Amino acid sequence: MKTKKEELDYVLAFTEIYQSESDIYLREAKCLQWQTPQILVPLEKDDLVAGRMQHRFVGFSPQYGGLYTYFFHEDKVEEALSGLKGELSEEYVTKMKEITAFWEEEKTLNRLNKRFHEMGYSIGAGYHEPGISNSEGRLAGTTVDLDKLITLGLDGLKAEICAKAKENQQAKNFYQALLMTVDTIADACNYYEKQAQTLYALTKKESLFKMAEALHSIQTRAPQSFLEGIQLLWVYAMISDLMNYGRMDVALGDLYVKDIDVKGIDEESVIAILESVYRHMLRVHKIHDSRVIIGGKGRRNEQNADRFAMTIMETSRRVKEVVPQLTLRYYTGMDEAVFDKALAVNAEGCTYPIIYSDDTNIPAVMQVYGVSEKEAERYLPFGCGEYVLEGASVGTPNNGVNLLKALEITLHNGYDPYWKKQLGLKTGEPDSFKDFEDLWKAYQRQLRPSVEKPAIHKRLNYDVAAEQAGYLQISLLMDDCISRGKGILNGGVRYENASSEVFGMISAADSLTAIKKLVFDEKRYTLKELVEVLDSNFEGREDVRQELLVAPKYGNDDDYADEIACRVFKNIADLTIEAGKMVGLNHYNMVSVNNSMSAEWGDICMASACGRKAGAPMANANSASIGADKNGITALLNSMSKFDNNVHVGVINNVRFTKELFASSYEKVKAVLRTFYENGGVQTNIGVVGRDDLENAMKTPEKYQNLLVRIGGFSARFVELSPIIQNEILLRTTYGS
Amino acid sequence: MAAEGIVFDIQKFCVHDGPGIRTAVFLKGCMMNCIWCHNPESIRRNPELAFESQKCISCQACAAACKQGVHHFDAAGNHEVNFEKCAACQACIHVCPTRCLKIFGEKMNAHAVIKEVLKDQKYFKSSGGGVTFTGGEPTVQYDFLLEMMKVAKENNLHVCLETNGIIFSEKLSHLMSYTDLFLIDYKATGEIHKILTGVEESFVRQTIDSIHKAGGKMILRCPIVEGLNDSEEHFAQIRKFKSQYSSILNVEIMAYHASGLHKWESLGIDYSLKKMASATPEMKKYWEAKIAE
Repeated sequence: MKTKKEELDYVLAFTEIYQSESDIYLREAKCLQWQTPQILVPLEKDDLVAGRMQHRFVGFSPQYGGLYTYFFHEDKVEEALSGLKGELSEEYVTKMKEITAFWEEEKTLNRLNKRFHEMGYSIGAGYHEPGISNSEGRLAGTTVDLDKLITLGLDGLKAEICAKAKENQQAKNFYQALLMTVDTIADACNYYEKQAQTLYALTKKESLFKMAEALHSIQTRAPQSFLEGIQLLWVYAMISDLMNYGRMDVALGDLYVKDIDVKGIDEESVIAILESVYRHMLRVHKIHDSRVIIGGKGRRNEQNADRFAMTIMETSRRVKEVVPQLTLRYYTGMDEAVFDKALAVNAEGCTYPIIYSDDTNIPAVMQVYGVSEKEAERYLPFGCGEYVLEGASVGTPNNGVNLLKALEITLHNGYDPYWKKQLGLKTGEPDSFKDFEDLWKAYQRQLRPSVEKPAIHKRLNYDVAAEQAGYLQISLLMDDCISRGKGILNGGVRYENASSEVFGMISAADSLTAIKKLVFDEKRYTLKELVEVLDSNFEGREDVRQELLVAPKYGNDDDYADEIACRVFKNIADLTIEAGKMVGLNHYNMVSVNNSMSAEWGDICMASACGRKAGAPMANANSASIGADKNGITALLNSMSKFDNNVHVGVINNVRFTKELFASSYEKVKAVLRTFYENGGVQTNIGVVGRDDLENAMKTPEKYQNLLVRIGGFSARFVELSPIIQNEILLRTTYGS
Repeated sequence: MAAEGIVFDIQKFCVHDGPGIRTAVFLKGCMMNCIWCHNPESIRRNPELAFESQKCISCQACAAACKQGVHHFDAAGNHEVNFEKCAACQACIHVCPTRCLKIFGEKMNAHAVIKEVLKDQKYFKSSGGGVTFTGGEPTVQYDFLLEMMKVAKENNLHVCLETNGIIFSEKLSHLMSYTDLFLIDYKATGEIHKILTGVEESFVRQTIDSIHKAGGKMILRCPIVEGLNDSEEHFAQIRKFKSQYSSILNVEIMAYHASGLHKWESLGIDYSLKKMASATPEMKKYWEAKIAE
């Protein structure tokens, strides 16, 4: 723990460095050079791989959640100042006040918000605020080419930078800054090398000796062993706030195989090293990120990568933690043993690996991003499930769109009955819609501005960041930055993409389906009557709710409901694409994922025509409304396969099986999943739970500490979730025999 | 040929009703009256009303909606259902706020049934599965069944027919040409068969023999209820069938499960096995060992 005074001194020094340099690249490199050794957290004797960090009151972060580029925590500075009242000189206090005022103007998030407001816009920053959509400032999810880092090593990277610098004199500041950044990485290795030596002297633990050796070696030459490889990867990732770790099987597969086959190192010691890295990831605790990808097409070293993938899966099986979000890319013809292992790990209730289908996704990514097959093979889901192209694109999601809220506002002529405010356009009273198409048009009109506004915000999010920073740590390992001599957001990255998170898709679709069926087809109620019933939260009209519940629902392979779901899906996808074009992003696409917002945004939605009560969770990502999938797992998967995969950059399909089914009918479960992946299925989050486990866990949580569940875009310990989300999970359909 | 019939369920992803992943089509109507029946909603041929009393809140909306006078409420609000009068018109279903009323059985067209089944064809292909016709006793709706089987075969589906074995030989020979695998229930040995099911055992034996002679394939499915049909004689006969008929690919023990109890109550039929508990897994293993001897 640093003292308050130490923290304030740090702020002072960081600010002086920032203010002393005007070139954005050199300034960032200098800031990183100062910041990096100061955010490192000392080694612990049981670490097998070194690397922990803790951000301070001020700093630079490429993509740590909530810390957007240059950040400054005025609240913490304020608190430290008042805590030290009387102990600081007047001059010092005045200086700190000046610094606070400086960062008030200078910190990236404030610059972004100011610019956005100057353009006449405002948008909710948090989620629990009025509106159909929201936005926040950040860069997130960029997945760099870690294979290049391991293959070239730090010296190799420097050689490449120097060679390019000779050709491109105009960008000399950028190259110089990159070289400084490489040195900063080496310095971090050196910091831990010294610590490992000291701790070794004290403890004589052999692992510390080996660690020191590895840390020494990687400061210059490319890694020669698995330990060196993973150590370099981790130090780089940790100081760069890299929250997603890409195709680790490719980057480290060759070193792994060499260690096992040539050096005779045993599997167990590799697992022990991986477990140490898993502990670091757990401490970072970015449960919505921390993707590790294995498998898939387009790997240069498929056999070696597969062998290492087996070991990674075994580690996840043993560790049973919420991170890393281990993700396997499936493809027809892949090694059967790898697929079997993936299902075996899932069968133990690990929720991992999440399985993605290359058969479905590579052709879709070619379409959606307009890239070659070779480039599409580099698609990687990060975070809750958004795609980026490894080393070739950014794809930050920093906004959400609540489709159920859009429908709710449409049904109230632009008025939000929860916040009791006119929030949208006046698109017509319920009794003015003469048919379903009229209602649909109003819904579309209501939605469009709520999609465009975040796109404008997104454009600014990149532009404002680019004015201040080159994102050197990230640019270092992105394909075109070195050859172009530019930072990722300054024209360096090949594809400047972004994504928009969509929530309440299925709740909105099922609501529209029920309205179409009961109001417009069967004329059982007028829309006005129905809206009144919804506004009263079905008070005294449970019969209406029951009728709504038995109306066709997505998830049953029922074309009536699925066609509307596909229409809602395609519509928001197209609106997002159009908004992206409008603001000049390469590609701006929607994702239907979940980060628990389906529950939290459900909280501020009135009762809906899908039969959902006011405040109840919305359906999660592309999963069925809670308990509405009643026609068997194949019907659910068929519904999930109907969406147009050429218009989105990630969806989440939660499917849950009983342990009994997985054990007694393994081959059939496997056939079902395989068939889904080979016939248009994007991915599955597989949950495997015992029939009574969830209920028992709510009663006696202390006995179920290890019960992992998939929320949609992340995994969590069931017993640590809020009761609202626990209930949502409890009520989801579990497929048995 | 009847293109329409009464179906009371179509279940996807069935893993215990024949090879691979299957869709089971449940037809209404059965000529047996097995005292342990766990699908009592399948016995009567026509659509019928079911009422789950514990869900009823005595709102009396059903009584107001019903033109047949099926629903009565006494002064204390107790809901009495006169099942005999019900014409399965569904008027009460729409007004019930708690869904305590339900109709079992829906008229469906053979092509519509197979169209629904075909939605899972890709799963059948990858797992060696197909469609299983079951019930009730599916052959009770023989014409409808045959029509569905023909359409299934036109679509290259693997067809299983689950039957209690009460099939006239002429019908059986027609069914044979569309059935890849019979799932034949063999429920008891000797006199007791008639007591437990209402039908003579000899019919079942005859069907097994006929299928064998005609070159059909069978899985024998044996519901076992402790104290009713778990006799040494019965197990001996099952073993004998296995050795006698190479066409019996497998014998499955279907240990008694009490899951049907609430269905009997909801249909307003008295159930004689009210107090019978489900067989334990150990018991099931013991029985399985018996037939493997």
